[in-house]
Amino acid sequence: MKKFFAAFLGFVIGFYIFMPKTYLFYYLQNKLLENKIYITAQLRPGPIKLELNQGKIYYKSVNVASFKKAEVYCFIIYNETDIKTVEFPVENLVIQKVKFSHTMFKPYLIKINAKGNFAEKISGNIDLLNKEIKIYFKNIKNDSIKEFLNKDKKGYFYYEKL
Amino acid sequence: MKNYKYLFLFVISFLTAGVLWQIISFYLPKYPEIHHIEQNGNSFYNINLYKIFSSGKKVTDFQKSNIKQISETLNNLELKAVYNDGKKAFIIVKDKTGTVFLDLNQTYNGYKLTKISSSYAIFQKNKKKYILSFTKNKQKKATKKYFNSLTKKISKKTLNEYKNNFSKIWNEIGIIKINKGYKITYVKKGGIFDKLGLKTGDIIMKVNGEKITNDIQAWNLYNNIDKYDYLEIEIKRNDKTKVIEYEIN
Repeated sequence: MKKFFAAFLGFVIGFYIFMPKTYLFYYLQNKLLENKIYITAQLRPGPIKLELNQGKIYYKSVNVASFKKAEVYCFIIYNETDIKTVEFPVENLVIQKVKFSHTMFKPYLIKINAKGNFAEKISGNIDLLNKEIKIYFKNIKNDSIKEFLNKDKKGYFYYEKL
Repeated sequence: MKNYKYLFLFVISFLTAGVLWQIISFYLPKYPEIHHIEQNGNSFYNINLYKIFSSGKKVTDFQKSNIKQISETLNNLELKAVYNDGKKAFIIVKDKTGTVFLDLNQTYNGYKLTKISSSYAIFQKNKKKYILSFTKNKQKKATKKYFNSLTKKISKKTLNEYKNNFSKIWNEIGIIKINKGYKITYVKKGGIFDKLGLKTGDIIMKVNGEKITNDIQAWNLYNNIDKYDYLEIEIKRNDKTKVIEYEIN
């Protein structure tokens, strides 16, 4: 059992450290481009994370969002992406921080937690299995946003199903 | 001795992971995806949400129509921006009087706005359709009448040869992005970039008078490099600014 633990620990640490984070980002960039989504950023790979600075996201050649900093942690069992200061090409709409998390125990689910200047608490899920997104907005500061949302007992939410 | 056995297993597994990634890396792309971003000229894309959402009308999803039916183009209007999220849609146009916001199904001088796409809008008048699309930015060709003796010459053929062979560029030059611009980290001796006067440590600040501050600008330049007749590269070398001029023929 100790032998297995030593081998497993060595493999896991090696797996994180030797992970070609930049090349994996290029691979993701290629895959997203197939869906007309283009991400560009200054990359800074580290031993446990990939840092993206001054990123821009384009959809069909239109700049839909930009972010100042993003940190990608890929631990396979648990993956997390923290993005700071997401700006959209519309005035008065900024997401100060957003966290995407994914665990192997629920591989089809991506959790979203964010804080924006239009809503204090934004939380929801991306269900890859059912291809649906449901995001709740709490403490909405800008009422005009409500027009774009649906409402249930829990509050205002955005829902999309492919 | 027993502890060494565990340590040995740990190291072997650690290195195995490294070898595994090396094999996987072989199949992964080594360079960022080059994607030319088309400029739609939508300079009014900065939209104030408070103004936008004031009308309160809901808009239904758009039906795809056959663009071939469109027979004429609106020339007196300039499309500046489009907005469409499925619920709300409007366009911003510029006419002689200034900027005008038009909601879907709103009528402007007898023309009814019937469809909004990501790059154009369709108006209808007397059962006839009119298309209004973004004015495409024309690629500015850099021209200069006089070339001084320090101007270096590059043939279009050589330029295209390098443009079409991405890996050939990276064999002869290394460039990284820094805050001020793009820093040259390596120049192959006797290579094309060496002959063109670039040196290790140079920082590319401007090309044809325009600052190169991000990857998009750099890729745009790379993709359109064959369209230029003249290039002026401003570099910083040993804290001194130097301009290298190239004539492309």
